[in-house]
Amino acid sequence: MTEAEGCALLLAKFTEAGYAIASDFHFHEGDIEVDLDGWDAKARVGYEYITREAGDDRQFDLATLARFEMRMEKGELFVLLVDERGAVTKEALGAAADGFLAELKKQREAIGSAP
Amino acid sequence: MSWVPAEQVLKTVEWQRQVLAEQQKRIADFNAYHATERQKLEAEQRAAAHDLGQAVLPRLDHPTIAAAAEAIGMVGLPAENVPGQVEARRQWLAGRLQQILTTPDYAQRELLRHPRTGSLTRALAETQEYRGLANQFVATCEEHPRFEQLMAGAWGTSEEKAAWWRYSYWQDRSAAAELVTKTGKPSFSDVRAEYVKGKENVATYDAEIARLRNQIAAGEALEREYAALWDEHHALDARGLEHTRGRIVQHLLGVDASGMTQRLRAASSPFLMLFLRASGLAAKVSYLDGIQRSNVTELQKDLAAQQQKLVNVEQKTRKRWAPMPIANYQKLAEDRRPRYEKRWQRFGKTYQTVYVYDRWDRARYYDDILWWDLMTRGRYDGSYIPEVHSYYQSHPDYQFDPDWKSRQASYAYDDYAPASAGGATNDHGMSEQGGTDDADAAAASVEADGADQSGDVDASGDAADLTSTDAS
Repeated sequence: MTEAEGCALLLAKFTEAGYAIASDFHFHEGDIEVDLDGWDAKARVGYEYITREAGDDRQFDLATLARFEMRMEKGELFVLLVDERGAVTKEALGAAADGFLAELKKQREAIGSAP
Repeated sequence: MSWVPAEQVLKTVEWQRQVLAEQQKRIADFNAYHATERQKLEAEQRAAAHDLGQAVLPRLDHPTIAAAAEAIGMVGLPAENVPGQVEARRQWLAGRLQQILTTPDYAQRELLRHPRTGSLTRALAETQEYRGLANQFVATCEEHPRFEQLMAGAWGTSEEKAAWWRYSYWQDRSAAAELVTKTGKPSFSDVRAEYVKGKENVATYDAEIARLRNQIAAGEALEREYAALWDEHHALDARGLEHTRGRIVQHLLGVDASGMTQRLRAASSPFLMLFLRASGLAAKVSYLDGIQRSNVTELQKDLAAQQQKLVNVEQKTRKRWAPMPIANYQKLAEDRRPRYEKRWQRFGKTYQTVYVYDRWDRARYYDDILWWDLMTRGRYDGSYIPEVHSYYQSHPDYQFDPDWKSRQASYAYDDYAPASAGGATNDHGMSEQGGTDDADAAAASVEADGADQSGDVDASGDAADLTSTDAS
């Protein structure tokens, strides 16, 4: 599955879950400046398909990734990071997106901020 | 200037290629012929060496060894006390065989290693079976493509730190669920625990299997050692004799043939003719190798040069499709077959002359022996053969006298003659047979001289015509 096909699938899944996703969003907050494949600015939820072909691994270097994930740990934002180096299948990506969105809903409900 | 059209030039190139191919085939045929003949000669050489060794050393006792050493000048041999060494070896073998016999690993070999009922054999089979069972769960886990990653990432333990917002986390989770289903365990923690335990068991069984295999291998090695030593013990005298004979023959063929001939001749030694036969056969094999190698190499070089010329002509002609000046064409079209034929004739004659030679006894008329000259009667230059060349180098004053008959007439030594032979020369049937041989040889020489205007003469009248049969 190509990155474009993967992004289309994720866009459909996130939209279906009620998120207003803007594609190819330039995210710049504090010391983090990256391009995200999908981002809902209001819900602060998105997804990023980290592929070498698109040069994402340069933007999401280890230090940037660490800062990004630290903010996720604090609950400030939630981005599904498709970090797999191997082949990504439609079924596996769909299942991962469903799992991520369910977990996100659970966490949001816990703090009363579901979209 | 006259010109030859390109089509004709290319046809001629093709024809010349066929000529070269014919020569290559001839070389291949000759190489095969030489290999076959060489095998026959090697067998003959082995028989000659065997006969020589047997004659020089009929038994392996002190007096016989001393006599042999004296006859052939192997002065150090008696001091080696070969019979004593054989006896010491016999003692050692007897001791070692006894020692092996009482070793439990050997004494109980059937009990331990019988293919079906041996205790070690059965223990090994059982352990392998248990190992197979223990490995089933391990193999099921390891067959899953993501299992290694799950173990490395500590999945199913408190140390697992995969972040749920990563795609890889969900992949790991799916894989863990698949493994739980496949193994029928309640959770991946249980899968992990069972796997770790299984690995430990497999390692234990592997160690036991290795131990049993080593024990079986050690026992089998002992059986092989016993069998080999038993054989040696039972054939010790024959082996000692054969070994010493081998050394004697090696010594005889390793020293200068002239010196050894002089020594044996002066002592009217019964070994003289056997020595000359073995020495001559060894020389023959190396000469034939040299002749074959030299001719084939030379011819191959020539054929390769011709082949390259044809390639150049063809390329040039095809490129411009230009006609060729008649003078150049005549050179190209020259039929080289007669030239090759002449070369094969010359080489074949030399090869065959050496091949058929078997008058080993004639060497005894000479103080300086170069087998090449004896075989060819000094008529062919053999300096391209390494052995001949080195002889010339080490004997700068050497000159060959082809008149062996005069030397025979003035031969001042008494050849060995046992009393039972009625005073006739006993040379194992190899010496000249009086006038008959001379007449045959003379007739052969006349015949060969008549057939060969270049003056080459075969050494023997019964020489097959190698040249006319393409060495095949």
